[in-house]
Order: sequence, then structure tokens, then C-alpha cells
Amino acid sequence: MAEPHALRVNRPNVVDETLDGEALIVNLGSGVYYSIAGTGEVIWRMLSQGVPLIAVAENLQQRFDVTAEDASAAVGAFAGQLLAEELLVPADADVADVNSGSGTSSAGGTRAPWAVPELKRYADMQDLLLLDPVHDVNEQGWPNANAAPLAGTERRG
Amino acid sequence: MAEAPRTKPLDNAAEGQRFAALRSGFDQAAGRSGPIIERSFCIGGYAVRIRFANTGLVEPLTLPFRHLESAPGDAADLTISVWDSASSGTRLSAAAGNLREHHEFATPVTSPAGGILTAYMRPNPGLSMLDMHTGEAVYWLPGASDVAFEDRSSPFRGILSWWMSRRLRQFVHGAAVGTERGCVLIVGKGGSGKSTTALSCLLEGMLYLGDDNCLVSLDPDPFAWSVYSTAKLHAHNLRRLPGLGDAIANKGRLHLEKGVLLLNDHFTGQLRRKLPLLAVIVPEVSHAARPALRACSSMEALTALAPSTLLQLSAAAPDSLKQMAEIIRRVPAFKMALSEDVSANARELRALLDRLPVAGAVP
Repeated sequence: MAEPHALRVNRPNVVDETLDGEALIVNLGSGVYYSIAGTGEVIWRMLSQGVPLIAVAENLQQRFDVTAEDASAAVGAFAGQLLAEELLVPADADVADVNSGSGTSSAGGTRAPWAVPELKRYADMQDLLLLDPVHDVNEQGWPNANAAPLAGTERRG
Repeated sequence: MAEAPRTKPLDNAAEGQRFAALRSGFDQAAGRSGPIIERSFCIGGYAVRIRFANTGLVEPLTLPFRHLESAPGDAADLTISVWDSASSGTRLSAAAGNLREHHEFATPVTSPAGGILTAYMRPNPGLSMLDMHTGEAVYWLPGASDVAFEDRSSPFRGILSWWMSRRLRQFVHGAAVGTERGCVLIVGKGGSGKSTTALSCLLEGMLYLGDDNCLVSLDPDPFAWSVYSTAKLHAHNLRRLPGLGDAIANKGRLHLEKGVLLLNDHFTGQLRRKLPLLAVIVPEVSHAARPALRACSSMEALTALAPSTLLQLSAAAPDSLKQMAEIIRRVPAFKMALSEDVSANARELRALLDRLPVAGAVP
């Protein structure tokens, strides 16, 4: 598959917020949520603003102690994860400037230590979405419930 | 399992027709059943009027709001019209229904302009529709006997959360208890100890806003608001809080469902409509003899609060997560290792509230 030029957040199914350099991302469609810190948060921020992948890698190389090859590979792999989790989707057009909200590059300054970006994935609340009475109705359809009680339908407290 | 899209945009006109048909059903049901019964409440600082086409649903769907009752006749910001088919012999029209279409796409269905929101609040069989522009909502049930567990403890959660979130009152999955100085918001997924801790605080004489759902806002300081004067607790936890026995509304069904506690009649003086929000607490079940509090990051608090809130509420407003983050940024957050001694947990929270600064207070 050809690598997309730029990506965008898969709204409205995906919402995100960053606090103190850590991003919380919730996929409302799947019920899975994620946290990203460090280099991953930097990459997320740029990708989610439509910065092209190649420009993200160049920016990282300026800011972090990482080779161009490793930065490019890390961005590609991380973007692949974000695409696979449907947090980002290919952007149609209008890519953003590399410096838009991505933080300043450290041209001429000390580069920060590099760490491979990590996407932490949490599926412990998926059951909130799986309480689907589509599967708990009888042949007459909704709202005629099966004689059997709705399994696992008690809400978390 | 294949993941269905959580939202399905529909044609505005079609949704408008569905809404009109559902509202027309209310008028027909009311015409057959007798005079419309109205109750007025102040929820989140807004006037909410609930109209019933007949008597069967009045008590179960208004008991949780009794502590927020206001004088009848006040102009309403939000009006909810409630009817059921069985009591009135009024069928849900095809236009209002087409339920299968909604159902297959799970909840919610949102019109493109966001004006009308429709949802089933699973596993409740009720159908909720809200016209955001007019502040009119309709809630339909197949019959008065179909009031589900969720409706008895937290009725109209979908309608209220949609409407409030667009007025910067964010419905959250959390408990809120406090003192006259302010309250803590206790957040975390199911089983983390929110309800038990909130109810132990109630038994220790503290003030109560809710055990599972509250509203939070910036006005401009952080506040928490009560929505329901109910609580839900598993039978084994009820045994740890024997002082609540009289408030259990479903004693005969505790083998099937959580206990539903109606607190208004038993703890009237301790229920509050609104308190300043002073801190967020992330409880952790432990077997320690004494509770222990330690500061945690805002992100830890947001992670404990936001996913469960967003995933429980259908059609959370696009900026709901941002609203929650804004509030969490404004207050300190703590992790609390809960003690087996539930009274000690309450005393620890009271002591924390005594020493936390109140926003806007003169030092």
C-alpha cells in the first residue's frame, strides 16, 4: 500500500486531548482508548494537524538525537499503527505547515534524547459499547426481547 | 466482532419528520389518557419541565429528581414529553419508528446539523429524541411496565447529557461528595469504589451530589452539580453500609440487579444541588487498614474520567473531552488507596476538603 502523504484525525469517531505533554485519544467507535507521551505525542500532534509524514520525520531529526533513517522509519511505523487503529485516516488535501503547533525545532541547539514512539492501547472499557440489544431481541425485532435476560447488561457502577 | 459506526448521519428532514411523529404520538396519548401531568426541576441551573401523557410513568421517572424540584409554571429551558404505547393504546407511528434502521447502527443517530439527536440508551427499550434548537425532547417506552433499571436510577440520561453538554454542563461518569466548602469528584471505571466511597461519605454526614453521574462546569470556577438523588450499589457492598437499608427501593431484586437507593427521603438535609469542585479523586481498591492519598497527574485523572464518560454517553458533544480536560486542569488530582474501613475513607476525604483552597476565596 502506498504511504499516504498526510493524515487527519478520524473525527467524529475519535476525540483527543493533550495534557502536560501526554495525549489521551478515545475511539468512540471501538471503545478503545490510547495514551501517547514523549516522542509519540510529538508525532501525534504533527500528524493530527495534517503535517506530511516526510516533514514530520525531518522535524524530529532536527529536534531529537535520531538519524534521518530512524526518524523516517519510526514515523512510518507509528503512522501505520495509528491508521490500523483508525485513529487517523488519509487526508484528502490541504496539508498543514510543519511548524503549525508542532513545537519549535532546535536548529542549532541541543537535540533531545530520542525514544521510539509508543502507542499505549486500553480496551478495558470496550464492554460499554458491546451492550448491544441488536443481539438480544427475538425474531420480531426490537423492542421484543429474547426470553432470556440480557446477558451482561448491568452497567458499571 | 465487526465494529459498527457509532454515529450515522441522517437527513435533517427525515429526522424532523420522525421527531414530529414522536411528539404527535405524545399528543395522541395525552388526548386518550387524560390531562397532561407536569413536573418542574432545576437541573444544572436550568429549568427542565417533564410532561407525562399519563400517570404510570410519573413516579418512577421523577423520583430521582425530587431534590431538584422547582415551582411549577416556571418557563422551561428544556421540555421532555414522556409517553408509552401500552398505557394509551397509541402506537409508535412508522415515521417515528423505522426503529430497525436506527437500531442496526447502534446509538446514536445524529442529524447532519446536529439539531436532532436520537438514541436508544442500551439496554433500555426507550427511544429518546431531542431537538437541540427548540429544547424539546420526547421519550417513548413500549409500556409503563418497561421502565428499566437505568430509568429508575438515572432517567433521561441521554437527553440531559446531550442538552447540557452543549451548554457547557458536562455530564460525567463520577461521584461527587463534599462539605459546605466544596466537593471532590470521584472518578474511575466500574468497580473502582466510586459508589461505596460516596455512600460512606453520606453516612459520615457529608454532602452528596451523586454516586455515578454528575454535571461539571466552569462558572467560571469549577463546580459539580447533582442530577440524581439515587445511588446504585451491589448487594455485597450494601452489606458494608448497613445504614442505607431503608433507602433501598428494590430489595426484592437484589439477586438480579444492583440495589437502587432513593436517598431523597432519608438524607434530605445532605443533598445539594451544586458545590464548588475542589479536587478529583481516582480511587484504587486496596486492602490497607488506612486510606492513603497521593497527588497524581491531571492526565491520570482525565484518563480515569473521560473514556468511561464518553463511552457511556451516546452522542457526547464534540468538545466534551475538551470540557473535561479544562475542568481537570483547574483542580488538583489525587489517587486514593481505599481502606477496607469505609468510614476511614470518608474521614480522609473530609480532611482533604478541609485543607484544600476554595477557588475565589480570600486568603
